[in-house]
Amino acid sequence: MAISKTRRHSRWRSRALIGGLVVSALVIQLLLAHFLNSEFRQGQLLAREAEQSHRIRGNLLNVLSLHRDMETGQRGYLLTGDEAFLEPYRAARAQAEHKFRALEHVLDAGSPLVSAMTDLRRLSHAKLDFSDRTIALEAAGQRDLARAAVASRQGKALMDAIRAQVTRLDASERQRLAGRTANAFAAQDEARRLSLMLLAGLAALLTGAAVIVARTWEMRRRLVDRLRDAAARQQAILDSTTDAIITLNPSGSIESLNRAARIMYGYGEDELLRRDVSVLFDLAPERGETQTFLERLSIEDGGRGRMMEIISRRSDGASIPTEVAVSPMHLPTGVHIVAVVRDATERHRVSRMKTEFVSTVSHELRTPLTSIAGSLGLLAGGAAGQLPDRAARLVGIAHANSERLVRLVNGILDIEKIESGQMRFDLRPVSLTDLLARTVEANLGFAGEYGVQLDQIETETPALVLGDADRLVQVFTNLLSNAVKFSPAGGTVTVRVSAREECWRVSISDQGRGIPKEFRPHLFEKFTQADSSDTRAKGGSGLGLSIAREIAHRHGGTISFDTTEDQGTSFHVDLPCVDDAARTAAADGPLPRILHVEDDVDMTRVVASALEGRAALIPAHSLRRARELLAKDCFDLLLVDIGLADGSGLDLLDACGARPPVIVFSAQEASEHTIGRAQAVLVKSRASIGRLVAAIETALSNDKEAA
Amino acid sequence: MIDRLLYVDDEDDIREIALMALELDLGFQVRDCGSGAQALEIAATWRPRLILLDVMMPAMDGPATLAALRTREETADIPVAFITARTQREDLERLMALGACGVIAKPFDPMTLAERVRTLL
Repeated sequence: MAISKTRRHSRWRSRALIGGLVVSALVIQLLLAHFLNSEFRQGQLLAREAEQSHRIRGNLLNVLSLHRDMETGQRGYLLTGDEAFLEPYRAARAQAEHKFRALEHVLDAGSPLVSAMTDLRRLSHAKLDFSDRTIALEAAGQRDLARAAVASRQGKALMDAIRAQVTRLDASERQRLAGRTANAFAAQDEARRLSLMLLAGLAALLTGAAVIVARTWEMRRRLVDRLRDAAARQQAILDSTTDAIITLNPSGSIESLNRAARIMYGYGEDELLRRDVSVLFDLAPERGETQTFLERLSIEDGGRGRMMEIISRRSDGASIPTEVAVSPMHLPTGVHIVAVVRDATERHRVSRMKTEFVSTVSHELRTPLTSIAGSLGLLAGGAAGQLPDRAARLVGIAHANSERLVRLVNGILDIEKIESGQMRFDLRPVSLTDLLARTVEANLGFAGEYGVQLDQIETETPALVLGDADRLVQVFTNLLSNAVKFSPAGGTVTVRVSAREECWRVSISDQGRGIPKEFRPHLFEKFTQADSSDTRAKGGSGLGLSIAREIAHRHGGTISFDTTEDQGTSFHVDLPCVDDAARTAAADGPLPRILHVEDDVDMTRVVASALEGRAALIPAHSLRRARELLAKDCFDLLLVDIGLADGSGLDLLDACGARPPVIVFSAQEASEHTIGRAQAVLVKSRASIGRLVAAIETALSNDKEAA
Repeated sequence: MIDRLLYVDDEDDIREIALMALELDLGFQVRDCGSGAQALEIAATWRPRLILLDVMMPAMDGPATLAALRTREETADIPVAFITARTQREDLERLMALGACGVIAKPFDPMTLAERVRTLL
């Protein structure tokens, strides 16, 4: 979580940096554009102003030149009286006004030259008036007056004033242009300086961006390398495992598989990709029922994975037993499945070998034990004549221990059978009262050896349970002999049967020292006794309670104890009760037929015995078998387990419509969907056989009424 | 009346112990042999009341001996009880299913063996 937060933070930081760079670059470009534009305009303006100034100065020179022409014409005429001199005078005079207008036109209204121009024009008018007057006097033949006027030097003064004014104007205009140009150059310099700064900034930004891009690329390259390495490493790990690892998408198609999977199933590199998982497992989803398939695999028990034993199919059609650990992966695209598959062939073979080995060893041990225990038994029994006391005691010890060795061998064989699931239980309704009486009877002699009295509390009820009489006697014998061994001489071991809720309780109580506190949690473990000296003193195998507990469990029962130090211990065996009245009730007419879909063979036997005389139970130990039976036969009731080796019993519910009534009897909690369709949902760990029988009878009678 | 018993076991020691244990009952006359083939001969001529037959024997094992006894007219009706060290329920049931009148588990209690055999007669 922290790592992803840091990564997010770093990602945002680099994005902000890149954004800042881009914005800065844009701003700089805009500023540059602005400066260049303004510089261009300034240049244009300056050029225009220079042109205008040139034009003004040109016109000023023209005006001066015209006045010179006019003066030359006037003087020539006055000196010669030749009217030919008046032609340039007149031409210049005619142009003078035009030139002044042109100058005024060129000048801006606010130009400081305007007033100076007015003065020039005034001087020009005065000069023209003077010249016109002198020419008029000459033309009128009054040459003297004309010469006197010229001699007055008024014309010259006016001409000098005009020349001086033109020179002033020209200088002013030149100065103005020079100032303007200097300003423009200064602005240009400033703009150039700023532009250079901006360009430098832009260059820095670009350099920064280039550095960032280079670093990002480098980081990216490293990241890609790391990811590639990690992926390769992960693939190498997956490929080096001996277990097959397969991932499935939410619809049950194969997404990926490792090398072990390809080898185990005998397929090529990509042959299995996107194919339905049913190609590998005998756990095929029905057409259109992929969701049910996934539910069955993992989601049923709250999304947690589980171990399953599934028959797998190889590409060559061969079947192999496999252990499959199925776990859901909650991804954004849905619930995917990862299945770790292990070939169980070897484990099965080893297990078989172990069982055979234990069986053989126990047999091989029994043969010499028969000779030893037999010889010692004969000696101890006096068959070979009376032995001296000390010899008899030694023979007695040897004999007792040879018997203990026999019990140990038997215990090991029992444990092996139970653990490998090969111990068979022949379940029938049996009376606990009778079995206890038998057990007590058989152990009277043994108890007598310890000076212990056995007391069975009498009871009216037979206390019927579904059980294997021999195995139950084995349990009670073990508890009874323990009680005797741990009782003080002269003590009493009490045996009683009492009714509990939906079960019978067998209690065997002694008056011994009680079980030490630290030993209580380990009481039912194999080869444990309170201390090693006890083991020897009491001659136990260390397996009895472990076997007793397993046998009780296989009967759907439990075993427990209460103990108080120095007061004694009571062991309790609770076994589900059977309603004997119902069992013996004679059924009129044909019995209702119940299809019991259940992969635990012992459980089908228990239920069949419980329903004896009331219903005919047809067992189906797989989903496939159940479907076959449903296809060709009619049943009055469907009793289904959910978790079957080849699928979920719930799949049958949708297939079989409204009839027959359904009862779910499973170790798993059922969903609401199931409750809606089923008449009753019973959880194996909480419901007794009695309650199951009651639920079946209710469902059958409801169905009969409805029909 | 004396009852003839034939005890068949390839283990000499066990045979000797069994003989002693059975002879504790004075009403038994016991003969023994170490193989199925010998048992067939003795049974045909001596005609015992009961044959106690070990299951695991070389050459001809207990079940094979029983089958052979049943095929011969003179021994077909002699009751046979197996004695075996394989004492699991399935083993006992399998042996009973072969037509034995009883199965005695090894190791047996020598002091009560004769009594047990008596119950089979």
